[in-house]
Amino acid sequence: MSSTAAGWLQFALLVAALAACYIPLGNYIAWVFTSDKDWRVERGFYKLIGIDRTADQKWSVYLRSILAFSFVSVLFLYGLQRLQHYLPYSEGFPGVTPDTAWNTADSFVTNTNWQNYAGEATMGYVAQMSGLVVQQFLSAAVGLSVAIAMIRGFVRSRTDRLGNFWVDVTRCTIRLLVPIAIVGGLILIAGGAIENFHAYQTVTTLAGGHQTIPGGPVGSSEIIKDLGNNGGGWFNTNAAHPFENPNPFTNWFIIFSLLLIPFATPRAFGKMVKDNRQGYALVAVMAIIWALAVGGISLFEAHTGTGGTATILAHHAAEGTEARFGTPGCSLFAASTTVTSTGAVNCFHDSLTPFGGGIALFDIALGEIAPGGIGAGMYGILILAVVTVFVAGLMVGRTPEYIGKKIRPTEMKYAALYFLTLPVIILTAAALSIGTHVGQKSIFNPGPHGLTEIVYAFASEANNNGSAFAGLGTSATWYQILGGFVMLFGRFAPEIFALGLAGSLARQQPVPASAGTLDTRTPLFVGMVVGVVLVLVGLTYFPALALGPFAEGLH
Amino acid sequence: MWGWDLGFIGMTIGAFLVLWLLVKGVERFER
Repeated sequence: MSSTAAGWLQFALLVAALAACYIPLGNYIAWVFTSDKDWRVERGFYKLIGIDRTADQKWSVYLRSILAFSFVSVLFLYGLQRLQHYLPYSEGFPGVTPDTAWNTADSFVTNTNWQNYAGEATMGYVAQMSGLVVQQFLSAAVGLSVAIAMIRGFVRSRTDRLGNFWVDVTRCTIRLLVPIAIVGGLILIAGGAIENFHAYQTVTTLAGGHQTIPGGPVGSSEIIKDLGNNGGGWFNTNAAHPFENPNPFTNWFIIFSLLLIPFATPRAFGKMVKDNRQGYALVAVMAIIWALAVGGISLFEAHTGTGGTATILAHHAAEGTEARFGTPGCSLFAASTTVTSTGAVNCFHDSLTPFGGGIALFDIALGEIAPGGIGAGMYGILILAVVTVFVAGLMVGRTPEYIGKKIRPTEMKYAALYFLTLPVIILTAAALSIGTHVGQKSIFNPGPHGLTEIVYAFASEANNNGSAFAGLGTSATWYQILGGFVMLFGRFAPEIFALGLAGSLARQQPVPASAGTLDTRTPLFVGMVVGVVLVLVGLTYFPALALGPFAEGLH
Repeated sequence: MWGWDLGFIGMTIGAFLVLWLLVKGVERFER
């Protein structure tokens, strides 16, 4: 079988597996957040941290709980890394340097998992397990909790309460993430991912050289890295490392894991608003954009006409591609990791063709709504659906309503602020880096490719993706500090506007559908949302895309 | 090194303070 045919077979199997999980997993997610009964372990946890689980929180209190939780998490993770040499299983590594420790703490708490360090050469086992892996569960749970609070804004009426953050995050972790991670981790380990506490071993190679072989509980970390759309690899080469991702089966399973929950969340939305067709409409939008991204990157990576002499001789863009997975496996992974907020990689994104890399950048710039990060994709696409309803209302005179709630100027202000926040953060940080000497010092690739690398770096950090084009010295203090702020504001500022919008919707009285109401369950609406997403993002980032990947590709 | 640590702890406090104030600002806008 040719590698192209194998690639499309993998894609078809993914679609089938995700479709099979859509209803059961979506229903289960809805049950997790709507069930009246607490599990005993949950009650014990609430008692331990002194939470009144019956307290229903206003949107701003819900948000302050997130901020307080994340603030403590950043400080804890920072301290853990700085003091890791006092921990067992530190493998002889010293404390992480302050700037790297701060950037990494911000990165893992915000679900970004941007890594300015090589995991196997910087972090001991306990720092990875008790710090980074724990945050991979918790930051994912925070994202999904915000999405659920947003959905409650549509479900509830005449109230300013959106639920209890502490209950949501606890249930998400205990009932959803941990059980799937246990099963998925065992599958990865059975597939060959390593799981041990061995000390690093130095061996003599056949050529007489010396090589250090790292170990670690990698399989159990790998699953939540993907399932929680985190992306922070145990090893520097991430999912291209054979200990993390040993064979084509684990490669497929990793891609499946990172798409699983985001693609099932629209079903939970449909279930909670008691109209499953609303969920089908949103998942259709996500699936169309994902398929376009996979097709686009696959096309440019397989196309030999524009990639230069080496590409023509190899019959595909082979540089930076992991030979075990080939170009199709790389393209499918690259598209899936950038349309979600995962950021795991199995090939070198800097080596993608200019247009292939441009699509990866565009995927991230979409705000990762197709299907997006765990939770973040859901609240992102809900806001874009609100914008679409409003635009449709302006175009054809329909009443701007969505799921029985009016889209008034207040709601549109929240939606506009949400949408503008990320471009402002990304483009300001990129402009500061290009326009200052301290930022320019770390640009190793001049010209359009260098611009793409910078914009990609900040787009990835602000959208909490975490994948990177190399060639930019992001371990320089400037990029460590600026990147830390970009991740914190890129994660939490949009959540403020998303929950503000949810609070505004929850206070409304539901409006019964009338002849003037736009049906948001039809293929027409799906097409309109896809159009609004592509046009809004395309226009916002057009100058950066034109001067970066387009200029490089057309050169 | 301790100076750097204090600096980064201060930056964390500063960043979350800005976010906290943003929530307060949005609440005021709401009223």
